[in-house]
Amino acid sequence: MLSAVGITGGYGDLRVLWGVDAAVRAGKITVVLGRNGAGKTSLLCAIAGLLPNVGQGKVELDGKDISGARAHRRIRAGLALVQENKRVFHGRSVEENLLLGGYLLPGRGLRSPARREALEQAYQRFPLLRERRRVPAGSLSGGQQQMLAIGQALMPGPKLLMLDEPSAGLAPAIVNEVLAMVSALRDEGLSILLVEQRIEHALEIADDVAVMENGRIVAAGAKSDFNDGAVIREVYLGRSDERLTTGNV
Amino acid sequence: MTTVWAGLATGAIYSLIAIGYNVVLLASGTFNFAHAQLLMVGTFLAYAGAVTFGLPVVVTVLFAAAGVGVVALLEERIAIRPLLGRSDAHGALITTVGAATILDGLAAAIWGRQPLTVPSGLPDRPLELLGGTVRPVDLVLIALTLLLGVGLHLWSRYSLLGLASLASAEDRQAASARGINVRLLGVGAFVLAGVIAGAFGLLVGARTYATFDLGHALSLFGFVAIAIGGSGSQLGGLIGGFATGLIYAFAARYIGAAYPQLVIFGVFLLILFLRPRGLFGSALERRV
Amino acid sequence: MTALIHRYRPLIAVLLVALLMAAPGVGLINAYWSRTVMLIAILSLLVSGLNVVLGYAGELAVGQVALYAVGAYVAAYLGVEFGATNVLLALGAATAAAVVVGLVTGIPGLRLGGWALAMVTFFLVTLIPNLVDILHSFTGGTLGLAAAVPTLFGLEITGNRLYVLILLVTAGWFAMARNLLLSRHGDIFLVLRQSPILASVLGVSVYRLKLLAYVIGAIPAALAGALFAMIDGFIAPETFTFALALSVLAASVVGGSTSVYGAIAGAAVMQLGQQTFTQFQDWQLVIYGAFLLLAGVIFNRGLAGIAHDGLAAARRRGWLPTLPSASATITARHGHDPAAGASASAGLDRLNGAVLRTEGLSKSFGGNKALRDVSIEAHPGEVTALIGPNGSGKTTLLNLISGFYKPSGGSLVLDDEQIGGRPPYRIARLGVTRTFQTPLIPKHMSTLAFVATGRYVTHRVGIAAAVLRLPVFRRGYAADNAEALRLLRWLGIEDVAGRPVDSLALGTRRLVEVARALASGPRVFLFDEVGSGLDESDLVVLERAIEKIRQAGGTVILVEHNFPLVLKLADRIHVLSQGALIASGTSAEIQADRRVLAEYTGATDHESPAENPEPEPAGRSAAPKGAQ
Repeated sequence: MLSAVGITGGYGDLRVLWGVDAAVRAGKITVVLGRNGAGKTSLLCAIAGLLPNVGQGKVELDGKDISGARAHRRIRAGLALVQENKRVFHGRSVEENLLLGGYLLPGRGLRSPARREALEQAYQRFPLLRERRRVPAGSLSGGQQQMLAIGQALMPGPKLLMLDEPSAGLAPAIVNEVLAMVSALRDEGLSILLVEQRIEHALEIADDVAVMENGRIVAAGAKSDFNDGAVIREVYLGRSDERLTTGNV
Repeated sequence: MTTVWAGLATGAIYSLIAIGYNVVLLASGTFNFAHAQLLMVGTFLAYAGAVTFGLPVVVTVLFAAAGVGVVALLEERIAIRPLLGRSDAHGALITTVGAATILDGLAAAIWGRQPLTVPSGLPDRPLELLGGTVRPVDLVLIALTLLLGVGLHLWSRYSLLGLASLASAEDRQAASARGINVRLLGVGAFVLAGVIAGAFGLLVGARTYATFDLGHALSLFGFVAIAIGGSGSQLGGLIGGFATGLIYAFAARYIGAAYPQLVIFGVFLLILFLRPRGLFGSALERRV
Repeated sequence: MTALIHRYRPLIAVLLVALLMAAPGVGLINAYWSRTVMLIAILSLLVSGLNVVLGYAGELAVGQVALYAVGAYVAAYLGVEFGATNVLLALGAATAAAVVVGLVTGIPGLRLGGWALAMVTFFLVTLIPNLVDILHSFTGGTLGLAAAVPTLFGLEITGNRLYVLILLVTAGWFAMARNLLLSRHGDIFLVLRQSPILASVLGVSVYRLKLLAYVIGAIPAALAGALFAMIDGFIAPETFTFALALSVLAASVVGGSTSVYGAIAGAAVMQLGQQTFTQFQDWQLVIYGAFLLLAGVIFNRGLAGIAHDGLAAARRRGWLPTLPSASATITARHGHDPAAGASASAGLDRLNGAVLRTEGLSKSFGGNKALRDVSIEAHPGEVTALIGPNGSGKTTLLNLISGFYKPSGGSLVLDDEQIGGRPPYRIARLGVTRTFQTPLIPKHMSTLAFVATGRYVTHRVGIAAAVLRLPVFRRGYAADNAEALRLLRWLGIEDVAGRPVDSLALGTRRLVEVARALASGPRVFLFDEVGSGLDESDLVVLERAIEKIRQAGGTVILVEHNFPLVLKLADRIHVLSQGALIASGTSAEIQADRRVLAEYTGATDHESPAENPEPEPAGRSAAPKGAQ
């Protein structure tokens, strides 16, 4: 479904990605793990065409080469990105946010039939958002904002959904809900690229795993290769301290 | 009441400038200093259409609208586009002032430095209305400006493109991630602002004459209108423009011809000092 | 722009100015050219003032012309009305008037920044005809005002004497501007232009510094006005037009706004262009506009930038002798300074740490509660770590402590003093310093100079001392450099001292930020994800540095994702989750806490470390082992 090969890039004169390969199989979840600053967010931005300085690399979505295309074309090609920190439009209402998520749907009117239908689906998926549809998104709680962000990304009916730390800053009960939803979306046939720091949760729903460090992929493969968790733990918690990692596993 | 009408008519022009600033500001986050110059070019194109080529009024308006739209498009290409993605914050400050100056200079070179009379095609005889006299052209200018300001306000709230423009003003990257072509939106806003300025060229020119340095004073008063109304608020800009015009007219009438600018400058300083976000703006705390 | 003091350059400059001054007297140039030189000098004063504001403080002001008019009218009025024709008096009065007008327009204009100042100053220019008219009893109205012949010590200052006076004043201003801009003050302007956030962490009030730059920039404009009134002996409002304002702006960007002498080059281009080409008059607006566009889009460093790059290229190809690199110069000088040499080998000086306490601190953004009722205490000589998953509120807490956010509730206490809600620069001045997740690094500055800006507030050398290059300035400058170099050496990165700081890799940038934070001798350190993106060797250096800061008595608050690093360093760990504190304790206690790892990694209970109790990890055995 998605294949990204040899992605490089960065911000200004700072290079943060050094030739990263990543792939997502159709209808599967690939989880990207790694410490803060490893380049996970930059990788998602590079795939979505949002990294300020994109170097070389090839991105293919569903067999179609989208490298070099600007962000809105990639979204049109079927990519969707839920950015970290629940980036919704705080000044706009919940419903306006969802309608903006459906910006690429057919119809010139704000409430064209296609947008109305997608809106209805979003409300069915997240009944709470319907209740609060007139409220400015900025006054929602963190968990609700995350739901809104996911609902927004789903509006145009993407082929591939990328989620950047959707559980960040959420209460445990809601984290489970969010990750269960991600898993359910996969079961509906969506391909998913998930950046997640809660390893155990992420591994539960993952099909494939990639581990990043210092802007490079240091380990990748099917989940079964990572089942004992040792490699991940080592990378995630740092290899500089042997005692800790051996102590924990 | 005649003073009120005069104030509203002048104010309508300031509102037009403020609206033009806001259209571009909302869609691309750029403050286009040269917007008042676009209106200036509009008055000259209206003159060229109506007097030089002797076109009918409607054709003149369309001609000026299209012409200024093209000028605005060129300005975006030359003065704004190359700066996108630069980290240096004040690039557009310099280049839009540059574009404004070039437009001033070209207008002076093409049409000379003497003011030209732009015929509005409306009857010249003043009307008695609500206890004051007002020229038909001023009345039309006031009415159309009101219509435009309210229309744009509603459009930005209740249309897909309008909302997309508000969204990209709030968070460009997030807007891109929703599939909004923010760059095209920015270009579109420039062209729209240009078309509006061109379309009003005839009415504004009929009130002020077409003159190459029209942009100077207008850009200032348009900015004062924004300062009063809060940047990014179309309704605020509309009200701010009319308020500025009324202050101008009353200061000229009751204090003296040399004073209105000074009074408005005082108001401007006071607002910056007391309510830097404008009377209708609200302070937002941004995450570091 | 490096803030180096090149020893021989001033001498060459003095010789050139002296030659130019003597030129008309010995018949080298005729009256036409001497007038041209005077006009260029006057224009370059206007441009130089703008450069301070635009190129250094990063604010667009177009009101130089208004201040020019103020200077001209004040000087002329004094002469005509009171017979006070003394040149020094005229220049002094013009300066005073410029400061007043600068304050009146700068205070509201700088509140918003961006376009507000540009518009206020632009407005000021368009008001000149009105003001001249309103004040016609002082200014002569539109008819103009004939100025008296200026005098000095009984001499009439006309002709060649006036020429010398104008060159002297101009040279004097440029010497002062150079001394000001090539000092820590200039460096701090550059920091401000790049990142107001960084400037406030250095303890600088952004608003006041901008106001300072703006008022300083007003002075040469008023001086230029007073001199201009002397040249023609007559002033009228049509001199002070918006077109002149634009030519000043164009000259600034053509010469290079962020430079000292670029102003002279830009002024010469404008003045000569105007005099030489008759078409210039007709097309002057188009030409100014084109200059602004070109400079803004392509050559955004102007002629000064081109000259700088040209010289650098010539040196690379061996056409010119190479300058000693900054670090070499400093090291060499440093070698001669026994005091600095001795302190370099020693460790860190004693740090006077402070107790930082939060009580029930909360922060919400709209409906999103980013931080809820957090109470922690950080003590001198201890490392207090904040850990927790992304979005748990760690950085929000740091931003509250350093004043970038105002608390929604609760209090923030530094050594019994309430600091919650104070502006960032005030908190920084109390000795709270910090680093950033993405290091904030200015452009066009050497690493050494950048680290030295950490001392701008704490080891401040006044503007007068810098302008006059007093011994106290030279001592302070050398001490700043020595200390900066010592810190870089201490962190093992002295080799980058002379390199532009924005050319460094991420890992080195982080260490440079630590050096910058240390340079002020602070009491509380806030390190935000200081270990992220560092490779192993840099991490070791960092670990050692934090350990030393702790030993020296500093209060350290560490926000870090690298769990092993935290376990090694921290005396006390606070775990945040969804904005609330869920656990506090020593490394051992935290490690034993089931909830923590679950929260931190999403680990389920059967893999919790509590089932595999392992002794204290690497690090400090002195820490109490509570739970175990």
